[in-house]
Amino acid sequence: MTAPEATATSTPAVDESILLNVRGLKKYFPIQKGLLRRTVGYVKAVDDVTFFVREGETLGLVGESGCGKTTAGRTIIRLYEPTGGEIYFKSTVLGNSAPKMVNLLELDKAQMKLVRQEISMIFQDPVNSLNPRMSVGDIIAEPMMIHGKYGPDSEGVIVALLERVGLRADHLRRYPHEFSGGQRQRIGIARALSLNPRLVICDEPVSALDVSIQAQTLNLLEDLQHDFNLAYIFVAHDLSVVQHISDRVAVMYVGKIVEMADSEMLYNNPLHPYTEALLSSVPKPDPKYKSDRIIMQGDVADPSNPPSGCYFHPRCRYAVDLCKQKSPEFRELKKDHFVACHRAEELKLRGI
Amino acid sequence: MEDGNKFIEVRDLHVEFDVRAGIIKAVDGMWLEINRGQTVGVIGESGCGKSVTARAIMNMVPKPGKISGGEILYHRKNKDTGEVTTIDITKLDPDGEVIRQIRGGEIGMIFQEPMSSLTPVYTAGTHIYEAVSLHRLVPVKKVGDQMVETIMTYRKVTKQEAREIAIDMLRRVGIPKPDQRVDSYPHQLSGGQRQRVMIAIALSCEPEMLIADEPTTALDVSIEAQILDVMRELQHSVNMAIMFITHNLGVIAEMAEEIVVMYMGKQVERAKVVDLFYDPKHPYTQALLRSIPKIGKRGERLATIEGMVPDPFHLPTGCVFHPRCPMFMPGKCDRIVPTNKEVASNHWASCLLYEEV
Repeated sequence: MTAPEATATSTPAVDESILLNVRGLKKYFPIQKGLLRRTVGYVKAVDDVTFFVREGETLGLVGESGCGKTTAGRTIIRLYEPTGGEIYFKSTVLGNSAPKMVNLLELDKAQMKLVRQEISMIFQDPVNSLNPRMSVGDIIAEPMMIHGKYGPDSEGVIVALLERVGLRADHLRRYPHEFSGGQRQRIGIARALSLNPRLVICDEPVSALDVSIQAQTLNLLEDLQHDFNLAYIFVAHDLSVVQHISDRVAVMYVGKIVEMADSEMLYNNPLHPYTEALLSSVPKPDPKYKSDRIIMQGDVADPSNPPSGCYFHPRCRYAVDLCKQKSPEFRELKKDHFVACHRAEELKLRGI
Repeated sequence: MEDGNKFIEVRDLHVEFDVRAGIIKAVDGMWLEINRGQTVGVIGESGCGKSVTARAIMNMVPKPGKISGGEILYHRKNKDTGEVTTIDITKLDPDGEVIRQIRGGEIGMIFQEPMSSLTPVYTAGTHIYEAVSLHRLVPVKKVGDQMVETIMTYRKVTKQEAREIAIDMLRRVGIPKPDQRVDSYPHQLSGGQRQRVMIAIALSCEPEMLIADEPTTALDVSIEAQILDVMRELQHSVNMAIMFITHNLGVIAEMAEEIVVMYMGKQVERAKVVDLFYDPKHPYTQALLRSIPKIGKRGERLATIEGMVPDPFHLPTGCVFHPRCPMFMPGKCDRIVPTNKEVASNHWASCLLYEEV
């Protein structure tokens, strides 16, 4: 396999507003075989991923299933232990209330626990992510208890949170099964906010919801972001939802980010052929729209045995010989518009 | 030829679920008509009765549900003589020979995530077992063998031909290396791949009608696009009718010619796809269309529908949508049940806005 290239080229040098700066993040899952569980290879779920999130903004992370977007989200808070890379986070807790950039991978267990107050998570499945034997109040209080923040006035805080997410105070003593999917997702959101985080990783938070409930939830997430100055990493596969909520969008393909830009720019002027193909296959809610989609030939690459060069080349209609040989560098082609494609300069791609 | 084209007519269908807390009217007076070769889309939020209607057409309503009224007329064409006989599916024995021929062979179906949609909660009554064995992958058997068996049940082909059909169909739904995958077991496939295998099985029997209940919801857009293409191709080559159930308005705009909007077990609107999207009549449809994020329009706040779907045990009086309706007319909507009116040519809506009361 090719050696990983240097990755320090693609983030602005000093930007005060950057809350999270991920550089060259890798997560390889070993493939073990045989009686002795020998490691025979690796699934490169996240392979040299570099991006940043500014305070109070939403970064959308899109890609097909299995591209590593969920793993990337989970690796950031070390739910999975990364294989390599650096994750800088501007922590207020560890900096003694003065914001300080820390590398999450260098923290010990106790420090990591402290940082977890500032980074929380909302999960996709509103049914399985809530403990059925805990009341709503207990579910929301649990993070506070774990972090020793539960005090006499916490119940008031929890009630306020419940009301903020559109539930009622008398829901406190009820159990998750008594709620609809949309309401359960609201409980999950309230739990994520119970410790006043700065960054919330939303893993497909609206994928399981009906359109009308989805709209309510998206509006709620936007309001909360505004009220609490939250930054979101919004992992999703629905491109219209991602565009709606995101300031910037990163597109992943087989463990790598292939393009990252301002949402408007990415959707209107994509620079990567994969982004173009993905955008063209979104079904539009307009019966008069003549769909002109680009069918990607071939199979999604296998992350345990990716193709040579650019991982997308076997499916790319613009691929040339160079694409088979050399892995493209992830570079800033225009201001704030990053892309990993050899032919990005010359190609004229179609957006939405 | 008008009548020869009709395939399924659902007339005033009622399906009830008798549960401990009372009776849930999952489908409450539903009308639906599907012609040969036509795609009808059914949209609505979860719990509105769209899936139950689909299952009723297969006479496969899970217990404790039962069809409590109405009829489902199936105009069955004899493949050899072309003769059409009309059968009322609700009158058939759910375990009988006739319905078993119809299911899978003449009316195929794809359910969303088949593993979970048929949960073991509805204990294994025979007709559920039937449904499970026909429409779910058996974990201990190779994918290819299961496909070959199903294909041979419904089509007159040899084992070798069936295997070729299976491989070809796997390729068409986008399974990588289909000639190898055909010999793998279901657990070796990803969830999305299993879903595609189910779609491949349903399509490879070349049914006259396909009931597709959220068939692509769990899949990526690129695969979804591929599968929608396969469905359309087949529709043209064998004049297959499709009943397409989804809550994805983008998919439905692309696939359906006619759309039925359901709310709380009732049809609230029915129209040609362009009329429905460009000139929706019912306030519920209007709200639904406004609430989807549209690509290319960022930053606008999404319109939402106030409140929640009502508790099925305490349905609102009058029009069931009135507590959430932005056009609510006090004294009317909470007292009078609207009837289905033709508000424009071939455009039906159940709303008091269009009635003189």
